[in-house]
Amino acid sequence: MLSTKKRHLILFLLGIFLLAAIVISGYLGKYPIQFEEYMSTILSRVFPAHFEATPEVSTILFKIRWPRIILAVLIGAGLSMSGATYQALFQNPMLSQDILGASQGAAFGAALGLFFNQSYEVVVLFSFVLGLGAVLLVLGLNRLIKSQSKLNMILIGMMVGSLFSSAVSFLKLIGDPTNTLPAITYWLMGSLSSVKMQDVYFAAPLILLGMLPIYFLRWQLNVMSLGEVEALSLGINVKVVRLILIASATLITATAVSISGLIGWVGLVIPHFARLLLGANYRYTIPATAFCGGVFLLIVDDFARLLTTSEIPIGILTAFIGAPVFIFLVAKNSRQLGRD
Amino acid sequence: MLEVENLSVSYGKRKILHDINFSLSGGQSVCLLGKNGVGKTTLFRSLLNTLSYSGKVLIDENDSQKLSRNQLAQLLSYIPQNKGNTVDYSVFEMILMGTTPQLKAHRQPGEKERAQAQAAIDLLKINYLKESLFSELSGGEQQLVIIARSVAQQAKIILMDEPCANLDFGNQVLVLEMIRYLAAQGYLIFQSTHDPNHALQYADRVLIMEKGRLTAAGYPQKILTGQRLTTLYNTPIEVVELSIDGEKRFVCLAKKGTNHVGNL
Repeated sequence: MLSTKKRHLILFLLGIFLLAAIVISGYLGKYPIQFEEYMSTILSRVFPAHFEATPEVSTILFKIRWPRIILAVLIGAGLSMSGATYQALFQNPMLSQDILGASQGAAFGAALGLFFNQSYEVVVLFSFVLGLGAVLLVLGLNRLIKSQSKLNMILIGMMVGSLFSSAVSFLKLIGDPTNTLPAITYWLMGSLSSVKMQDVYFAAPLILLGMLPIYFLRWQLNVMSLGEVEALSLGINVKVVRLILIASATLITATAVSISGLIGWVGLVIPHFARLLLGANYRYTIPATAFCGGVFLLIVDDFARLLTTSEIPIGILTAFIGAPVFIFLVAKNSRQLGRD
Repeated sequence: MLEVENLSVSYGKRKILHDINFSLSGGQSVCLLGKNGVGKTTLFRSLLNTLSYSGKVLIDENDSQKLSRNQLAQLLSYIPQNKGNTVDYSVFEMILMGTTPQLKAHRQPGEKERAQAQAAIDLLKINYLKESLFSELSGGEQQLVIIARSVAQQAKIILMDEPCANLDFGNQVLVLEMIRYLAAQGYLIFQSTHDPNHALQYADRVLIMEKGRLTAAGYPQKILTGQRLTTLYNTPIEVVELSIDGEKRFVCLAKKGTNHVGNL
């Protein structure tokens, strides 16, 4: 077991790593910028007296690259945290918003909003309501069939997920092929290519709003992961805490899906990676999950925009990384899954 | 310390518990005996207030239904059946979770809580396990850790649902001795068990449940007679007295008997 000091050190290093990744990502891009120009433009924001900003660099950084970087970090951190939350709440390490059907529910909600040409606020609201609906549907069905195995919940989640995916397909089918259809299709593949500063102002507070309860209730999350009866006997008001945490995790998922479409696998894989680094205690694993998720999605997004001349949707890349890791996790957990 | 008055529980139309009445004081180890499905776990769940019941449960003269989850957890702790937990917490973290009822919801355990957990570890003398991973311990050691968590919870009443299920003989003795030790420290330990020998040798009091009713209560040597055990478990049983190292001990054994499959 790691000592508390070592854990704090690892968290500190992860924070430094995230910061470095942010600075480097801002420098990388199709439009070449001199490194000195780059640094002085950034620093001019902090110390305007000592450094001078170059106007065109300023425009590229703060209008184009910056919003994208901020959202990649926030969405990566948020999706990972909400994945970890679902895993702890349902005592099932193989869960995430994608497997529970929450993402697909949120995607259907958002697609519905796009289909009716609604404003951002309405798109996110639809997305949140249907995402929450999907989770509650999975929980309800799980209870209804008195499921005893962790595998069943995964199967129910996949069923609910594919139901909502079909609903999205139906919207695409009846959508207007000149504008609605391409909008939904490209957005669904998962991409951060079109984000603007306006998206940041809108999405960042919502994602942070979802992250706060999870961060503050992370000790309770430990206790909840022991199971309902034990959590109750340890004095936790299970119903209330569970509802708060599910709502928070789903709010993050819905906001992320509304902005960037379906970016799969992050919520499943990153919490495992954080646990490998720091152990099971969510007191440390939740912040570690956020840092790792932020770094991961930021780096993947750098590849998405730089690897080829045209953008690769980021969801495709995360799937390429996530799917093999998932098989590894299945192998590692195969013995646990059959048990209750 | 723990009083139960007219406790009844129904699931739909089916009545699981019928008018249970008993009262237990601190500083003793109590065994609850009964066949599978007579409602032992249901009784524990209602004491924990995790299902709806009629009647009254009084803990230190407080009506348990009027207590908040937090307050109840500071009076009563619960050790579920060992189900081979798959979580990878360290032993210390596991015990630290016992301090949760005293924490505000958004707080993390600090110095005071760590000291409390350490005190529980010292009381059970399991310092050597502190740094291990919970999932890598033997069943008996896991049970000791969960008992330490209950001690850290600082509740004076501990409910245990078959604490010796799935344990080998050595580990059973380990856990039972610990229960006796805690009872001597003033705790009320209320456990359900399937082995009447545990009750005969380790309990100060015994409660017997049949079909959702409490049918006998008292000192183990007095009420656990061969005849009663025979009717309780529906198989011929005899209680014998032994003297080991000059100490009188009671043991029960199943007779080779009429109920054997071959004789049907």
